[in-house]
Amino acid sequence: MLFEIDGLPVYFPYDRIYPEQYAYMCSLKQTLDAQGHGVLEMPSGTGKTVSLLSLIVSYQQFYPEKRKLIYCSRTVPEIEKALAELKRLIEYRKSCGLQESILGLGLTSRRNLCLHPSVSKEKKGKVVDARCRNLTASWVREAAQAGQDVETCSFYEDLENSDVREVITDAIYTLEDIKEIGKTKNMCPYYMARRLLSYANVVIYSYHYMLDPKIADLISKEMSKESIVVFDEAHNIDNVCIESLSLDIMRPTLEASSKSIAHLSEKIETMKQQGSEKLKNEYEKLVQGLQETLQSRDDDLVMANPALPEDLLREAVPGNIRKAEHFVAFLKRFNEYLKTRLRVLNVTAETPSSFLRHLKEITYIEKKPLQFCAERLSILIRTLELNNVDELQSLIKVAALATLVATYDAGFMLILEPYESENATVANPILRFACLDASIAIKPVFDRFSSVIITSGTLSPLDMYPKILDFTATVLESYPMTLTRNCFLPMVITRGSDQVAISSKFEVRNDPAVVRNFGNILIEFGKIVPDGIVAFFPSYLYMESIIAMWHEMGILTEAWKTKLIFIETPDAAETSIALDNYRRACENGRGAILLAVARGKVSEGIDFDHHYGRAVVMFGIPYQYTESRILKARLEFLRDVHRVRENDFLTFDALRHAAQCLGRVLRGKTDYGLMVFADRRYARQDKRSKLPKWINQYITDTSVNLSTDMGVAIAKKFLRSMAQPLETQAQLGVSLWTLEDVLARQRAQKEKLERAAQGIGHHHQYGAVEAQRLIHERATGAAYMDVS
Amino acid sequence: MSLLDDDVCPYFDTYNTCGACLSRCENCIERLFAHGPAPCPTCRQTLRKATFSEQTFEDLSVEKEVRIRKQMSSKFNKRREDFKTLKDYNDYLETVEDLTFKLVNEIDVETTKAAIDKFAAENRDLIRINADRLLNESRMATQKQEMLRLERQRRAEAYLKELEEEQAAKNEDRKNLIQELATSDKSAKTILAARQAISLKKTSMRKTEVKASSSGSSNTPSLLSDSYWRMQRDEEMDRHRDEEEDETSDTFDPVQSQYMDVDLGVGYVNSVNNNKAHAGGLVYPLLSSSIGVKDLYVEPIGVGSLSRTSKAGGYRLGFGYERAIE
Repeated sequence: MLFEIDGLPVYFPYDRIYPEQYAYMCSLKQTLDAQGHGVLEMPSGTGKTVSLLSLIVSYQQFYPEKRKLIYCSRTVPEIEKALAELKRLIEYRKSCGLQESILGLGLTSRRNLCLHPSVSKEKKGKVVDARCRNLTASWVREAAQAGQDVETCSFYEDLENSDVREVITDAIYTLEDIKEIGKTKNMCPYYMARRLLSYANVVIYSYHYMLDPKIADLISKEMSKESIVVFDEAHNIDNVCIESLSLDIMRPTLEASSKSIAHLSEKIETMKQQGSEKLKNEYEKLVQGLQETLQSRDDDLVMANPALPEDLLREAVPGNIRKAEHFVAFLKRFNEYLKTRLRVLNVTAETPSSFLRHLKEITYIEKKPLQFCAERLSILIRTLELNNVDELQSLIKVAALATLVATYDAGFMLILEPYESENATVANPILRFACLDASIAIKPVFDRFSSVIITSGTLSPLDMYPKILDFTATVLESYPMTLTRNCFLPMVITRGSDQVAISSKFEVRNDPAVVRNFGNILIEFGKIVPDGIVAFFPSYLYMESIIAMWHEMGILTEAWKTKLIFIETPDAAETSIALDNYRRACENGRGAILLAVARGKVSEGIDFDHHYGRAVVMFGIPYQYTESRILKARLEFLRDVHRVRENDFLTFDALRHAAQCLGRVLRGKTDYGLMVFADRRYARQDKRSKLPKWINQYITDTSVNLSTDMGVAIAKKFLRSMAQPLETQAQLGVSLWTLEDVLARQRAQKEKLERAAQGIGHHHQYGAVEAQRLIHERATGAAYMDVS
Repeated sequence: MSLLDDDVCPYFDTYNTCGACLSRCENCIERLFAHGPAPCPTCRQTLRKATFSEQTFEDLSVEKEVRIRKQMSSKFNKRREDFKTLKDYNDYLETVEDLTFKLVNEIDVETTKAAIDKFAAENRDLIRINADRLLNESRMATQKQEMLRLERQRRAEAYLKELEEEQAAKNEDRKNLIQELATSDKSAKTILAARQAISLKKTSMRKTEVKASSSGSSNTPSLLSDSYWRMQRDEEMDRHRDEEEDETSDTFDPVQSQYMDVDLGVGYVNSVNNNKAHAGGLVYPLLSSSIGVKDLYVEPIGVGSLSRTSKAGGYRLGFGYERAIE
């Protein structure tokens, strides 16, 4: 369907549109017009991706600037979904008779795209990367061209020898398409995609290409400032940012890097003896300045700098690490220093500046050369023409730590722990370089791009994200869900049938009465809910102890009578088998129970639509493990810098994960399911208010303080009514709009606005305010929806 | 010392090539050098006890290198400011590194040492000045670190105190309320309403306080949508409500808990909760017809009759009207 939003023609590839999609697009357009950043929360399963794409592509094609769209998602399946959606959209635009050339494509790792007969057989991503580099590095190719007997990759060679733009016509390429073209043209799909990035109108790839400074510089450097950046499923974005700047160093890492250092110095020695000019050339270049060497940075860059500020890049490498042998000795000293630090007996936490001071006292290493460590190492690796970069991983990590610790001070913390985990009895010291400030990694993105959109199904409370990511949002919006029938029923069960309050609070979580009542919820709902039930626990540890207790109590035997039980484990392969079998059991009609963990694999990105999930139970509140040092440091940081209270943040974090788990059950308006919050604390307003609006909106006071038997009674009725056939006709005009509905809305809106404008003449003050409000509502799209 | 040859301690692990031998075994050092300088059992150089120091590094070559660096740094302490261009400074750094490298790897030790001495003699004044500067700087740094530490401690204490005070104020409030309800002859409704107004004011005061102190990070975008403000307002109300709720739920008592009396059939909701039921029911009149759980459903009080009771639940009257008209 084609309609206009404030003069912008929007092509929407479906005949009908949800009201929230329409409102979402209005907010989006407003954000883009203002060239600002936006935070948008939209109910899961209401077609967020397609609304995003259709509005932004329309926007892009309508205005002469043709702002590029960079769409970041989390996982490969999500990227594929978005690409498929985009393809459909562009086909629709073509069928509408638009003459336009749009190039859109996705990028993923080499492992998913490689065509090389033997390399593509490798299972691990890092191995594929390393082997690919061994075949495509510039020195390897030079050697091959010089007639030496070295192996190269024919796919890469063919790509090098042709012009990508000539081969590829403007269209939308899914990951599969790119691979297919690579096969027919005998060209490397990965590098093809990477070269096309700068020409593409729409790019869809993973977060890391944008946020991880180690890769972002490589991939996303050439994107123009005007680009529109979208982070989808962004409820975890702060953690991604933090992880991309955090490092863990352990004894084996240091041992391995010691070995690598020895290997490097051997290499240097042999190279010197052979009288090679390469080391000398490298030295000459470094004397002239780092900028020169950076000119030669290209595809075969083996590792990128984790964080070198622009102005530093222009400076020359410090004199004391210019010579290769000096640098190796320098690395050795730093590595040995880390080893001595790892001989700790008690937990210590220190700031980077105090770490640097101690380092200087002990080893006479200054800050400046430390900053250049990562860059210098990558130059050295290239000079020595080392091929097996994967063997150097540990050393690269140590060098990255050196650079990070010397570059950043505020917002970082070094934490030394003699034991890896709380319960460990064998000392396994670990040095954690922890980033506490999520805004550091994402700052370049906000600085560089004029419009950054953060969107997900669970972003409440919205004002938390601008705070912790430190940006100013022009639009902050959360949409309620319009439904013709209440197709999901959230309920809070606070006590068991025996009136004992249930909670995963530390003091009572292993209380047999609480555990039994949790079990009873499972049994009772197992009896009445058809098909699949998914139950989430706050942690693996807690899940294990509860399952053990359930087994003793005979609860599992009881639950078995109605449904099969599957369990998620920390092992990914095991979990995927469990998930497969769970699905099979659901298909069979008997149904099953899946016991999973909030923050685990299952809770993120796996949909339990329709019969795969008719009920989701959240046992307890998934708080983080609060005794962790890093979390404590982060909480303190948040309190001091962002004025976010510890409890506020912990609750926010726990509830976004809870909402994420429960949101799994509903994927669209024809779907239906139960959402059970099983903890006394959910009844409190401060917890509930942090749930997304669209869930909160359907939590009524009748369903807030239930015991198990009451919950079962309500659920029974709900399921019975949901089992009635649903007619699309009934939804029309309410939770599903046709083009006429959209136009009618817009007309009504216009009239209202005009009336208000006339009102200005009559009642001066009142009218002006009213008109202002209406203009505002019109702009945000709030006026288009009369949901409440 | 001939005795020694028979019972050399296995831990007495010396490197005879260095000026200062290194040992892992404290006992051996004690025994060997108890009576002043004595020759090293392996390299026969005369050594003192003072030349031995505790080993910090696993790798003895690094240990040795660091010791040399220590000596070097006492002489070569020029700074960036002492050079005209960055290139000069870098060249200087490289020369120092070269000399150190030679000493560590024992290449041309004599000439190197001579060069070092020459440098030290030429730059005596500058070396002294820079050493002073360094000392000052390190003192400053220590001081600064200490100050930061104290500041952090102070902040943490302030925060804990703030929490405590809030808790105490809350307890006090509750006590007063009960006191007032028990003794005063006014109706419970008026008392509650009066309290409501006071505590609302308090919350907003706290909010503005926080806003003022965090003005740097707070954002007040002009384009904020209506619903955002609405949400903010909601939140304020919620926070206000929590304050009441905290008290009831922190110490859980199953008898006093708010539960629905099922026997009464139509959802009779106990005590304070009643007011909230209206608030919720009014905004989202759901669940009633389509699912058919009417027997547990609280009928919302119409907007027109939005009474004082509803206000007591933290519900702003105007807000209710606004929503209802839409």
